[in-house]
Amino acid sequence: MAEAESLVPVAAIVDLILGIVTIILVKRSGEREWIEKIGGLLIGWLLIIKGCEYTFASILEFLAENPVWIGDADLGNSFFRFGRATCRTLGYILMGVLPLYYPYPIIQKDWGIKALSGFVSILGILITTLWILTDFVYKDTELFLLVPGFFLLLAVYARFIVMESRDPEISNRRMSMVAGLLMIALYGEQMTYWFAQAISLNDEFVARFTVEFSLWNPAPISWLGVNTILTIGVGSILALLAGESWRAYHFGINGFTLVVFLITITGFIAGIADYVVLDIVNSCVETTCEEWPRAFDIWYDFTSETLVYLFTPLIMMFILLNFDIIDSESKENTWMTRIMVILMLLIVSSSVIELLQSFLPVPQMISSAALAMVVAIFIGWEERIMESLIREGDSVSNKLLELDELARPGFDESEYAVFTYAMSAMLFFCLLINLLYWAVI
Amino acid sequence: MTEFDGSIGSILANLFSDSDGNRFFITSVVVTMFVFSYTTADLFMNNREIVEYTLKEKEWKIYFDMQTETLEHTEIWKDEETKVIQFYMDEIELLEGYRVGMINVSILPDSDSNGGLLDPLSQCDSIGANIIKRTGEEDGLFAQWEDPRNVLSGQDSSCQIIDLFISIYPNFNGENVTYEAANEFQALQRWREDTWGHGVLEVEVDLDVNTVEPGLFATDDEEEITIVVEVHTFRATANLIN
Repeated sequence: MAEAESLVPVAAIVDLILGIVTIILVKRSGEREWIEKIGGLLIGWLLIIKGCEYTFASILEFLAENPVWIGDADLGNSFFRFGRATCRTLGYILMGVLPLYYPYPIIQKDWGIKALSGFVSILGILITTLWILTDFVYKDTELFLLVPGFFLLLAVYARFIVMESRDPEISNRRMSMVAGLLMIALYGEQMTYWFAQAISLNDEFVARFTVEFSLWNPAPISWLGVNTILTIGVGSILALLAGESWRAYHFGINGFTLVVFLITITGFIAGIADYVVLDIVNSCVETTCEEWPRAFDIWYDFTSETLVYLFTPLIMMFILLNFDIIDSESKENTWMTRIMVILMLLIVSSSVIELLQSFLPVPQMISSAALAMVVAIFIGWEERIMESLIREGDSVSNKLLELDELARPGFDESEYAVFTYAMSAMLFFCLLINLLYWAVI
Repeated sequence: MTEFDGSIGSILANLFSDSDGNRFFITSVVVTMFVFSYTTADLFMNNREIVEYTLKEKEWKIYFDMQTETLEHTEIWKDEETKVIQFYMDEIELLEGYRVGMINVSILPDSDSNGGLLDPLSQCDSIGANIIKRTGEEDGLFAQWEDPRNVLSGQDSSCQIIDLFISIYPNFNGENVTYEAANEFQALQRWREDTWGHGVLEVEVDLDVNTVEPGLFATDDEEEITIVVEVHTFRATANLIN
């Protein structure tokens, strides 16, 4: 049985490609409302920063497996480790601000985008510098930034799923669905730990990781940060489960409902699996860290990791296309959108096949044939796939304008460009600080 | 109905304008807060103290259980001949949990070379031996090539054994050591790298026959040389001192 391949390098490529293409397409979607433009830019930059984080993680994985390449160098104090931690922090900041602007913006003033550019850049540089100077003891405290966005998404979901019960209008469903999809994209990994968190098992895992990875010796407030995002996962999935169960009862099951049910079941099974390995979890704290059973590793490779590394970019792509954030129908965008969709689907499918092959005794000939079938299906049904992604396309701005809940502050086009420059500069400076720190220690 | 002015107040008023939606929202928030409160209490009351105790640096004595595996190669060298003998380290079957620590190489000249019944005039031959330094992934040996304890070359012309030495595992010398670490796992972590000792050990041996020439009974123009490679493997265990 071969060793399971890491999904991190695939995630790095997928996120970077999708992020860059998104920013280009948003720039070319001049006719879109400001809420779609800023939502698209935030999603694009979030993907790029996650892509950078996964790139650093891939390099770290490679070096850890090939110590000959680094000789006596200390990976724990390397630029790659600092870079990964920095990108993760920047990612959390963007995850925190995204729901404040999309799908239901609570800042609708003409200074909104300027404030966003300034706030994210300054906070990003400030926090990452502080973390690196304090040896990442306070890392994960930034997770508290997710709380306002979570409450906002929850409020949007709650309002529109209830509105749909009185008025089963499709636009109400679209608002609740985009809020729900964003919750899965942002807190999906934690959702798969929901049952373990609900029965308070995750703290045992936090304790194990603290002991196992001596590099991470967090301050109490960092523990609280981790507990916050894990609890957000529970709150999100339970709210979605309640809403979608009610909706399924009245209107029938649709794709999104199925996804929610699937994550709920996955989280429930994961909680039981976590309970079963509790002795191994505690072994680190009590005696010597024992290794996870192979089946436990495979389970997480196929659930939480696949969701985070492969399906999160797909969910983001679905949001971008299905909610008309980017103008996929204009002539100059069509070919790029099509390439992006097929590329994403192919990368993800081939990775899943590889992952399956890593633990199932499937001959390579069969997996190659399976991949060829997937390629044929994607090429043959390319038109249909694109149509199903864009078919019901209706932007959230249309709904908010219909409700008279969206202002039009009249942002200048240059403000979007300034936001992109600010994000590039922030990423560059943060990595430069890491590089300098690494050079002097 | 007041006109929407884009202020945060009016935005929040709109967002929370549906009383049924608010009930759904508040219930979800209450459930989330409830989960957060008891998991936080559990995290800090039950785990924080244990982890802090576990993370406190303690003194560990590391003991090394040693096993030696031997590889041997015997061959006849002609006068002024140089040969490179390769020892594939992967041929050694390591016991569970054991890693290669260091390697001793002994070059043994023929015990009869210093005069015998058939060749009473023969003298000890000159033998030179080197461990060839190769660090490439394909044909090299993962070892501590720059370790000052290494003896990578030697020569002899008095029928003595030539002893060579190469350190394999970083900082390993076979003697017990004491470390400060938070737990047993971390104390043993530096003794768990599997890469070291893999590859090919190459020993170059050259021979220069010394004999009384020309002579009636002078037949000494070759020598049988034996190379013995002792691979010292170890398994580390940790005992808490205090």
